[in-house]
Formats: sequence, structure tokens, C-alpha cells
Amino acid sequence: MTEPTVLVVIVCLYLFSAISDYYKDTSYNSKIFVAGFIIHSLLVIYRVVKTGQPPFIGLYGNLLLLPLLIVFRLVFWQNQFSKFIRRSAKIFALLILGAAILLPASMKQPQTVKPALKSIWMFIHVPAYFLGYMSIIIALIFSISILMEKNNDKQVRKKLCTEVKISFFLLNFGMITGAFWAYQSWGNYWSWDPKETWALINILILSLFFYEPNLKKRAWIVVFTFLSILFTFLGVNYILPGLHSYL
Amino acid sequence: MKETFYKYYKYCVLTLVIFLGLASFFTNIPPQPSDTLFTQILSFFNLPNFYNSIFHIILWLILASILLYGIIRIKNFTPSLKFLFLLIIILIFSIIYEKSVNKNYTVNLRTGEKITLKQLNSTRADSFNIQLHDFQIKRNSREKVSVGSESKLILDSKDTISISINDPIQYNQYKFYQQSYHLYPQINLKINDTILIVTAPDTISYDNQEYAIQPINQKYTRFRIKSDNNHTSLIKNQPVYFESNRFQIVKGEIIKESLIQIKEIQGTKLVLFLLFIYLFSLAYALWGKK
Repeated sequence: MTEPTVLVVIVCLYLFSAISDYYKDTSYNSKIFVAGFIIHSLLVIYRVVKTGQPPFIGLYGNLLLLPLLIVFRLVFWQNQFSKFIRRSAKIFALLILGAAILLPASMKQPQTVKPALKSIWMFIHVPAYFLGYMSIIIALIFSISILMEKNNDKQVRKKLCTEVKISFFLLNFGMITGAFWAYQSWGNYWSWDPKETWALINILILSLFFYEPNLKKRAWIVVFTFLSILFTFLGVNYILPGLHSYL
Repeated sequence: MKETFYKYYKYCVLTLVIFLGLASFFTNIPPQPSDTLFTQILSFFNLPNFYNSIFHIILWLILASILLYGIIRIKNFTPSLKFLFLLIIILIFSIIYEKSVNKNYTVNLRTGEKITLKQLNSTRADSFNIQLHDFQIKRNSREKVSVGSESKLILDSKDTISISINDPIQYNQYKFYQQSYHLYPQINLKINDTILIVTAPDTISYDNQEYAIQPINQKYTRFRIKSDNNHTSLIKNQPVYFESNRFQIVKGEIIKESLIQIKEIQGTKLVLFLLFIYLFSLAYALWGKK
């Protein structure tokens, strides 16, 4: 079975689980979802073994890893999330995997790792950001549920706050470990490179969350942070040239 | 009190976000010659050079003063949050200090070449020589792809250091980094009976005619020779008749040039230490005892 076929199988399993979830929430759906998660994990591990590179190198690798992290949260902490959150998170994971399938074949090939990237910091700085992105996606889903007035109780407020705290810390952690790595590789812990600047912008926007008393405004801050992160993740690489043009 | 703090913090952060975001776009735009309203706005806010502008520093200092207001005036902020704010204030000042006193130099050296620090910065009292003793490019044995480079430097005519990517060396108040390298094909080009040494790509003049020499492949074995109206390919040791002249590459070698970054590091370690402490205080402020 080829890699694209496996990817289509994973998408089908997640899609089936998401659609069945919508009509009836049974343990059968959960089992299908877990099966998708296991195959997804095996695919990521297979790529790591085949290419000899960590899964976060290249856009294709990123688009496989990020939904895996979201699904991981849903599988192991499923009681933490309401039906709406679970369904929405599955749709998010599906959209990202869909983008991975649609990438041109040339972007799916393993890339040569630049010498400056061969450092222990890569295994600290990049995963921290990925975990931070995973948390902000979960926070975004909570925010959408608040804005759509699906659920506004105290529990949702608390969970949103927890996700934002995790994301805020990990974005800071990623930025500071990046500063240490940059000091080692480029001689400068901070160069005002577009990626660095936008990483700082994300943190500044998200910091407003902690000072805002209104819940809906807090939800909007998370939405804007997500859009800013999306631009940092994709837009900066293709629009603004800089030291971080690795994707 | 708390509302006032939130309000000013929000305005300051939003101003910073807007200017940092705009500057990230305009830094990449070269200066425009025409004096339009657009360029006037750009130059007023100094957007192409925003990061080094006094306006940028003032915005961060305003943020620091808002945080200071939070520490002094707001009683229901936890001690851990106040400590975090204090740390951010110290960080803002130390980064401004570190960035203003330290300078970076990028030098391009070929094997045997020497440069003195005085040539880079005439104001420095502690000048010493930097000589590139040897430069090697490490290649992947299978695919022949560059996987790194290493420079051996002789400093002050006595100390030898070796630097490679991700492996810098500190010497006195400087840190030496291997940044990258350039490859230049140097060829001995024979035109009829005249031999010229050319580092391609270059333009040479012969018999009142200009010829551009450009490498075609990455191995630098094939070159293109171009005049105003015509062009042809040139391969080592194979003579070519082009516009009534005989061209031949009689010798060719690749000149390697190491790109080394030298950075002054006064106060840099303090900033890194503060960033490290900041992470712990942030974790404590977020999840510690209230």
C-alpha cells in the first residue's frame, strides 16, 4: 500500500467517525477513530524511519504531524471535551490532512536538512511550537463554541483558559529556545527576522487574553491569535523572505 | 486602577503589533526614489528601518512603564505576576543596552587572507589580526551535498581556533561563527595569445569589446561567454572561435571564500540568562500558587 493510499484511508476513518459522531455517539465510532489514530501514528513513524528525519521537517511533514497531535489529545483526553469540541477538532484534523493530500508531489519528497538545522535545539524549539499550535487550535474550537453560544458555562471558560495558558507558555518556550539556538547558530539571539517578529506578535496578541474580563472578547483574541499564527506558519515563509525560510 | 492598566496595556500592545507587523513587510521593500505620500508615510514612521529606530525603542519603554505602573499601583496582582513584570522590564532594558553596544561584522576571507579588527571598527582599542588558515567544506559521501563547513583561523598571529556551523568559539570579548561560504570559479582564459585571470561571473574587455563570462553548471566546468549580440559555451581545454577570436580555458580552479560572523558579546549572556529565568517565572505565574 502506498503512502497516499494510507493517507486516504486515515482521512476516510476520521471522516466516518466525525459523520457517525454527528448522528450517534457510540463506542463503535470511538474505535474507528482510534484505528485511524494508530494508522496515522504508524504513517508518521514510517516516514521518520524512511527519511531519517524528524516529522517536523518540510510542509508535508508538518501537515501530517499537527493533526496527529490534535487527534492524540482527543484520544487520550476525550472526557475533557464536549461533543461539539470533539466533532470540530476532528473536522480541523481532517482539513489539515486534506491540505497534506492536495500538496504537489514535489513537496512530499524528503528535503535535505540545512547544516544549521542539525542541532539538539531543533528537537526542543520546533516540537514546543507544534504543541503550542495544537493547544491554540483546541482553544480556537472552544472560542468558536463560545462565539456561537453553543456553550458558555464556567467549565468552558476554565478549559479555554487552561488551553490558552498551555499555548502561551509553549509559544514563549519555543521563542526563547529559538533565541538560544539562534545565538549558537547565527551568533544573534534575535535578528528581527520576519518569523521571529511574527512569533513575538503572536505572543503579544495572546497576552491580551489574560487582561480581558469579557469572555466573548477573550474568544475573539484567540481567533486573532490563530489567524496570526496561521500567517506566521505559512504566510511568512512564502511572502517574507528571511532566515527561517525552511518550509 | 486595574481597568486603567488593562486599557493602556492593550493600546500599547496593539500599537506594537501594528508597527512590528508593518515593518516586517516594509523591511523587504527597497527605498523608493519618488517622493510620494506613501514614501513620506514610510519615512515618517521609519518603517523600512523600524527595528533600529528610536520610535521602536520608545514603544518598548512605554510598555515597560505600563508594567511598572501595574507593579506599583495594583494591589491584587500576585507577587509572582509582579516578579514576572519586573523581569520583563529588566529584559527590555538589557536587550536595548545589549543591542546598542554590540556590533556584528561579517567578513569574507579566502585561505591565507588576513584582516584586522581595526578595519572593521576603528573605534575598538583591542584590535587583533584574523587570518583564515584553512577552509574545508564537508560533503555528504553519498549525495555530495554540503553538510557543513569548517574554518581554521589564526587570531592575533598566535592562537589557532576552529569554527564550524553550530560550533562557535569565543575569543576575548568576541564570538566567532561560521556563517556560510561562497564558491567562485577562477579561470585562466586565453584569448588568442593573451591570458586573463577571471573570477566568474565577470565581464572582461578585449580588443574594445566587452565579454561576460558566466558559469553554466554548479560544478563550474561549463561557462557561457556573451557579447552584445552573441553567445556561446566554453568547456575547459576546448578552444572555441567566437566573433573572430580564439577562446580557451587553460586552467580552472574553485576559490572558496568563508563567511565568518564576528559578534561583540558584551551583556549577551546576561540577556540569555534573564530569558531563561523568565520562562520559569512565567510558568510559576501561570500555574503556581495564587
